[in-house]
Order: sequence, then structure tokens, then C-alpha cells
Amino acid sequence: MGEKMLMKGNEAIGEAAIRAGCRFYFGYPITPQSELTAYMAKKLLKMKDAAFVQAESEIAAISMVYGAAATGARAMTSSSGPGISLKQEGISYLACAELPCVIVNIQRGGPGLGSIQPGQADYFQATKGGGHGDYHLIVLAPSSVQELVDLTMDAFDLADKYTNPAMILGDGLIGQMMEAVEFKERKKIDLPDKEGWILTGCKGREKKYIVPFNLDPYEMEKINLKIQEKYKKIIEKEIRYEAINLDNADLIVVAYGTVARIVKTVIDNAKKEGINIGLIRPITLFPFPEKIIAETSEKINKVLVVEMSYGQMLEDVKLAANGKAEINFYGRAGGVVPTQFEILTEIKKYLT
Amino acid sequence: MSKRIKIFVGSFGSGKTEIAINYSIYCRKSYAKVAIVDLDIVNPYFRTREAKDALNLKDIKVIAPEGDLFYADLPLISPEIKGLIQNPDYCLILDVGGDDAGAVVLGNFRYFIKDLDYEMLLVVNSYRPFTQSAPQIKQMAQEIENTSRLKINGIVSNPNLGRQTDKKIIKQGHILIKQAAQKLKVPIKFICIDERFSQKMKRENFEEPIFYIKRFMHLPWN
Repeated sequence: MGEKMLMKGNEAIGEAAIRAGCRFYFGYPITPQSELTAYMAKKLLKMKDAAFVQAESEIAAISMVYGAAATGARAMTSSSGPGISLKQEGISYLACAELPCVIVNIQRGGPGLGSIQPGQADYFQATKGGGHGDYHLIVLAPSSVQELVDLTMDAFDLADKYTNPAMILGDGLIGQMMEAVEFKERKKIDLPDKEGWILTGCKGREKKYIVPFNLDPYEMEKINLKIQEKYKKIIEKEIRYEAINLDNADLIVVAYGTVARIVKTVIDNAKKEGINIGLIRPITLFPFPEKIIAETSEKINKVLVVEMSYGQMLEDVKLAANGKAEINFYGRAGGVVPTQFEILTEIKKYLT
Repeated sequence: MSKRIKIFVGSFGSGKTEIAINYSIYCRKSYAKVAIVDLDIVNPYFRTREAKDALNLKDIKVIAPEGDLFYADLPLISPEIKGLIQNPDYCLILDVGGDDAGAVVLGNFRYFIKDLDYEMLLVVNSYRPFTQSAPQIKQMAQEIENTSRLKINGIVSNPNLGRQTDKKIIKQGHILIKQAAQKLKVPIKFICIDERFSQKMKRENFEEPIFYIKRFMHLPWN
């Protein structure tokens, strides 16, 4: 057993990243994720062969990640909505160049400068590209501070395994709340050797380069086809979700992150009223757990999607259910968190 | 009754806000006029201002940014604070933001506070990342004293792991905080224990007084 600590979500991400071998962090502060930047500054500046840079902008930070990743190092950046928007060009470059890294988005209310309270309205941006071109990030959505720790460590492994950027998609609530966390010893997993492609200085060997382009369209198409192959493998192998109470449920809720956590309390309370609710909580948002949603909607024909947005994951749930179930939606946004009461009231609406 | 002005400082996330809120309610029993000041310029969520309605009901004045600025993460300092510091009718609780960064704001009031009837209490939770050992706690105390330019007069022991707290966690954490207190040559004023342990952990278990805490900051699933 590892030691237990009481940590803020944002600090926990930082500690998990360092324990996963991340020695390079580049970022720019923004509420509600600034504690992560502060934590990395406190820790990395005291470590050997490590670098922390408070970059002059988010665009600079993501470019520094590109540089560090190209040398084979585990690198990370983090931000919230507006800052993540600024990073999109660099994220697209990283995906094209097939560079592994971890990007953390602790979502706040949007659009625009929005608010500093929690949100989930960056789902489209995270899962459908965000930047230009055909690419995907591996997107992980934690629901507790402990899961934030575990998924941050997994994100580095997944990024290395598929040489693709991975994103932790949290929200202000999980970033700011405090919970006890444990840093367990992790099993060593086999990851592909980076030696072949990393840039280490070309003294005594042919020079190598890592660029996110090819001006020959047929060669550029080959790059596209290669990364598309990779996404297929990711979809095949990396889907994760949590399913609760799917047998004999009167209605299934699909929710992720902190909203799913509120739904869990709703499920317990509804049970006392004789209402049986199930939950599908996607842990990976890309790859999206389509199959379980498809199978469940064949059995239970009432689904409610709850998000802190006006219906983004909703579209993926509809595609997965493919008309088999009645898909309803409840959302609050702009920084407003849906309450247990609101969710239960909404559920009851569809059960009468 | 002890000092008229109580200043709660401590590392980021040490539990200052919950303790300051509870302490203001406790002080209201002996003082006709109690005010609590949300001096947190560091945290964007879970601040004293969120308990404002509950405290107002108990006839405790809450000084915090209002209106549109309620949700802001800006270093806003109300001009009312200076008045309350100098008003001898008021028992005043200052909930200061975390670490030395949060204590910066105190430097601003030092001139008015230093000669008054005040005490500055360092809240310590030994399960938090940067206060896990006696030397770390000592360093935190020094950094806060340096930026606030005020002396820490006492320690509030607040050993907990949130919802995963148990008797053993409290006892072990408290031992470490005691060692730190000895090193700092500052007395422990009281130990904070969640009210859910009020039947299990009593006065006789500790040398120091126990202050039972009721939580005011809630998560949407609790």
C-alpha cells in the first residue's frame, strides 16, 4: 500500500504525472487549474533533469511540449477552456507528428472567457478534433480524485503506447475538491521503444526530423492513413466505462466525470422511492463506449443523458443507440452544476 | 475569552475556511458582534462566502466580495475590513488564503493589527502535500510569518483525510503536528475533529482541547 494524502484534484494530477515520469511541464495559469501549474513549479524546479516553464502564452507552452516530446521525454501541459482553445494548433501538430504527451483540460463555464465555475462544454473540442485536420486525442474523464491520479498515469502510458497525445478532461469541481488519494505501486507495462524516432542529436548518425507536414499530398495522405489505422486500434482496445445497475433498470443515465458522481447519489436516493436507475459512465470519451450503449438501449428503451453542457456527448449516445431507445437530455452550463433534485425530477418526467 | 482578533493562516487546503466558519459560530456565543472576513485571494471555489447565508442566519457578519464579484477570483479587499479591525466591539475572524501567497494580503493590515489584541493561528493538516513533516511545517510557518510580518502564536491541529479519516489517522497525524509545534516552540491551541467523531473521540484522549467541526462546504453529490 502506498501512502495516503489529502489532495486537491489539481495537485493530484501533478503528483501523478511526476510519479509517471513526467519531468517537463509547460503551462500558463488559468482558473480553475492553476494549482496544477503551481504544484509543478514547486516540485519540478527542485528536481534534476527536469524543467518547469511558465510560458509566455498557451501557444508557446504547447510548442514546448512538442519539443520535449520529440526528445522522447514525458511532457505535459494543462489549462482550462480559453487556454485549451489557444493550444489547438499545437495539439493538431502533435497528433500529426505522432508525438506522445498529456494535455489536461480542467473545464470551466464557456463559451468565451465564460466563468470560473465547472463545465463540460469542451467535449466536442476534446473528442472531435478541436484543432484542424483528421485526428483524435485519447480522452480520459475522471470522476474522483483517486481516478484522476490513476488516469493521469494511464494517460502517459497510452500516449506512449500509441504515440498520440492524450487528454485528461476534468472540470473545475474535480480540480478544486479535496479527497484522500493513494499512490500505489504500478505494474510495469511493456511500451514501444522510442529510440527509433526520438531526436537525440545527430552526431555520428544520419539526421532525423519530426515534422507535422508533408507538402506532397500523396505522402500527406499516407500520414493520415497511418494515424487513422492507429485510431482503429485505440477504438478496438482502449474503451473503458463503468456500468451500474443495468439489469432491470427503468431508465439508464449516461453521464461522465463529476456529473456521473451526482447521478450515483441520485440512483441511491431513487432506490428508496422504488425507482430503479442504471448508469453508464464513459471513462474514455475517445474511444467512446458505443457498444455497451447500443446493447443497453436494446434492452432498456429510456435513456437520459446529463451533462454540464447543452448536449454534446448526447450526440455520441444517440449515434450509439441508433434509434433503439428514447434519448432524453438534461443539462446546465455556464458554470452551473445540476443538482440531485433536478436530475431526479427530470428522470421522473420520463417514467410516468 | 481569548483574543478579539483571530487570524487563521496555513498551507493551502489545510482546512482554514471550515475552521474559521465554525470558530466564528463558537465566538458568537460570547460576543454580541462577530464578523468573519473572507480574505482568500487564492482559492476560486469552496470559500467562506459560500457559507454566507448560513452565517448571516446566526447573526454573524460576513465580509466578502458581493454581487457580480462573488464568483470572481480577484484579490478584492473590502474597505470595511480596516474599520472592523479597529472597532473594539467586534470579535473578528480573518480567514486568510493559503500559503505565503495567501498571507501577502495580511501584510497590508499589519500596521493596524500589530498593536491590537490579536492572535495568529497556523492551521496544520499533516496529510497535505507540503506539510507532511516537522521541517516542512516549520518552513511553511516561517514563509507565512515572513510575508505577513506577523507572529504565529498558536497551532491548530487539523489532521484528516477528508471522508477517509478514522481515529488512527487523527491520532497519528496529531503526533506529528505536536512534534512540529515543539520544534516551532508554539503551543497547540486546539485539535479539530469532525463532529461525526464526537462520540468516539473525547476530551480525555488528548492533552489539548477538542474543537468539533461541522462541514459547511458541500459537494453536489453529498
